[in-house]
Amino acid sequence: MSFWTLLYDLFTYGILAFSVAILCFYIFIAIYSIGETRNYIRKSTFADYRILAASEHAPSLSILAPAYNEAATIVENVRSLLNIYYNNFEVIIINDGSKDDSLQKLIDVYDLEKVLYFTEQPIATKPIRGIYKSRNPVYKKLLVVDKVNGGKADALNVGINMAKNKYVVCIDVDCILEQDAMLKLTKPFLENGEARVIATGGVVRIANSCEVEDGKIVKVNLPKQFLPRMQTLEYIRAFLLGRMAWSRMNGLLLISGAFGAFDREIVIKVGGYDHSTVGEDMELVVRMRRYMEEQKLPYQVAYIPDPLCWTEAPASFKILGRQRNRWTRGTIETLRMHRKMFFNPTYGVLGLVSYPYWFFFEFMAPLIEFIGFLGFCVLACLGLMDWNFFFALLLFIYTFAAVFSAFAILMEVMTYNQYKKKREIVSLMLTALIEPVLFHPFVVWAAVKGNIDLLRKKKSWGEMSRQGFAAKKAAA
Amino acid sequence: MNLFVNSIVPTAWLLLAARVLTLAVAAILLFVFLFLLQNKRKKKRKAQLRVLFSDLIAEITIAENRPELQETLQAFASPKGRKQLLANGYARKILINELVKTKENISGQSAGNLCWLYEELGLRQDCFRAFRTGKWYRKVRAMQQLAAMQQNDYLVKIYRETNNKNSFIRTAAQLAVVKLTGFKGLRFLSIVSHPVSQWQQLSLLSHLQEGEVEAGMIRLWLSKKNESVVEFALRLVEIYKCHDLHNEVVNSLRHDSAAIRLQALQALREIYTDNTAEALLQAYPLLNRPEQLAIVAMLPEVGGSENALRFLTTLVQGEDEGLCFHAMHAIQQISPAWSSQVIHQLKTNPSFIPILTHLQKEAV
Repeated sequence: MSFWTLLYDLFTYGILAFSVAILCFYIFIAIYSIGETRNYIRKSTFADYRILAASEHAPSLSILAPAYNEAATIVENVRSLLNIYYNNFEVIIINDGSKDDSLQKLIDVYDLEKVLYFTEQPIATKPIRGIYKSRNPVYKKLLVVDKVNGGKADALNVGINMAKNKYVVCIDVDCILEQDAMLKLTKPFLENGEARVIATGGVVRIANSCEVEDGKIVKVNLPKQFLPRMQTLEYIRAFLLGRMAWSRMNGLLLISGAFGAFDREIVIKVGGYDHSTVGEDMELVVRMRRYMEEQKLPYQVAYIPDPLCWTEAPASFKILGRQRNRWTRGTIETLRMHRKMFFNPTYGVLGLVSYPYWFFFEFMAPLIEFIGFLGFCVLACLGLMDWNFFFALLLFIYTFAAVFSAFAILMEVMTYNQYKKKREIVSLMLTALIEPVLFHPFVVWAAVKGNIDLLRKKKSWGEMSRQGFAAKKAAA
Repeated sequence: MNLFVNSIVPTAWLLLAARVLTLAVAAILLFVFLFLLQNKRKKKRKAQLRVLFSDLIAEITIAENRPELQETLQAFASPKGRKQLLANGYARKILINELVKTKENISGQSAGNLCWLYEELGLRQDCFRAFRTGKWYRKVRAMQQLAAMQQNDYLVKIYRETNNKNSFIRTAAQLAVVKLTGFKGLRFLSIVSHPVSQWQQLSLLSHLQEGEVEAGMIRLWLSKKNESVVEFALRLVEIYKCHDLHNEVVNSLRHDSAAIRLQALQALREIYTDNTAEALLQAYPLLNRPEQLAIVAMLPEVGGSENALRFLTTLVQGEDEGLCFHAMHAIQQISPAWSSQVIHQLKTNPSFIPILTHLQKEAV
């Protein structure tokens, strides 16, 4: 056997083994998530959330919302946060050195005055320029912190330092919350058995094309634009199947930065968000889990499959590319920081399953896919391609992807059924057929670019301009 | 490319698998639409039944005596097909749900009338049958319904489930017995070996009425090994202000569990006596920082003796900025004169300046 034949064998068998492994894992995730979703839905029908909403003894929450150049929507977004359905909470808006008039708008509308506020600094942050509270008692739950720009992670750390309560809820200021979002997010912390719940996260849904009124979603529509619709399907798959399965095995590594709640004590013990990575949301969860494993403390990261939070998805390839590029860099940075856990039995499920999964199937998959594509081009150019086999394999993979998406749609319909019109279901199914051809290659390319940018030591978040809900409604 | 891979997975197999998967997509699509269609029909049927039964329930609630109740029920059952409807399993389920929902919002004679209807139509037997099944969610639903409809006959059977190993059954049974018998229902705390979660504690509290608390029982629970029971007992002490249990609560400050120690401090805030401050100062060195902070914050409330002021002054002079701030805050609340003295001593200390400025601003 010549060297080239051996290399060729390794390449083909390697890619085959990887593909079989990833397909098996997808099948496992789909099946494993069913039981957890069914159990959750049954369980939640017996829960009376009014008890928590009305109770003086409900745990107190500090809602942290970092804001950077959000002047267009900040006033309404803060109003929406102040109106959430919960009893014991404070809202901390952290103005992360905005260059626009976000702060002035808040001062004017909420009648804020600068107060001298002593606070402990368990986590080191960029300097605070001022702390503002309202003169109007109606807004007594609002605290605005103005600080020197230091990025989202630094802003959240300031919020964590300022927070007075046991649990902190980190939220993107432009997210729209469901009425009972806080109640559902808080409940797992109170269901503590042997294991301490250190973090909870909920489903983030895509709000493009939805009708929004007074900071609330009044009508859910499937996005009309191509890219947000693709992402809707992607989110359904990820949140309803993927995270549900990970939650069942207590192996969840990621709580969306858009909406998650954390045990403040543990967050402080691990040193808060790390601002050296662009994937600070994932990194914090991994670090908290690692800390609990190293301390040998029983713990749990809980996940709520109810749609709790709605956000606007990128509608252009440019913005989407930046987002996926950043997600890739964040994943790699996190995996690199915690490489000690790779197949390390000391870390249990975290080291033996979660970390390797993220390494092989989140970090490596786009690279292997890309290399496979290059290999295909070379073989095709050299005339070594068996086209019959190639098309059969392509067809198999395509139909597998379609079945997986169709199954996710089925789960969505049988559980939360957000998209009620038949034509929306048909549209989602068509999306499932188009996605592997048009959307997926772009996502792979963005991930490859993320790898390249990381090698070039690019650290930026990339600008994430949004269309805004109000503007969209007017357009509709 | 087919040299090796094709030898393991022949092309024909792949094509066959692709065909099967294509059929699977079509089958899922078909299933989705059938599911939606069935769901729509179910919803329509449910809405019709709810309208029908809400009329019956409305009339039953305003009936004044037994003959009137019988008459209303007969009038409802007389049209053709109604008897069959009342025998239909799905319709009976809807009726039970409607009865329970209405019963939760009313009391007095009207509530009694609903219980009569529930018993008269044999709906409680339906619930009991569900209670006896192996499926946890049916059992839980049945217990909730039996408790809502005040079916005390089943109390013993439900009580047996209060220490069930299935947490859903256990918690539903605990809530049901409290709903049926009030504070007395909490006697399961004496035998429960599983944790009573914070969520469950809040749920139990929401069903308790003021004035029915027995300090003797709480004293017993304070000595239990189950930490969550002790925590809940301390919560009861706090809410119902059980002053007789002061000494037991003070003893809980030495408990191994941090959650219990914190809850004990919260309880002491409500039942403090002249001796509380001294007990807190004695316990202080043995506690963790969160509990120490809680003690400093509650000293102005529970009694600011000179001893306490001296203790707080030592904290102000310490290195922990947070404790220093809270101690200074407490001193200011207990004795402005003492506070001025401390400020005078420390005003040249640069690390003290932010705290001082904050307190001055707050005082304004």
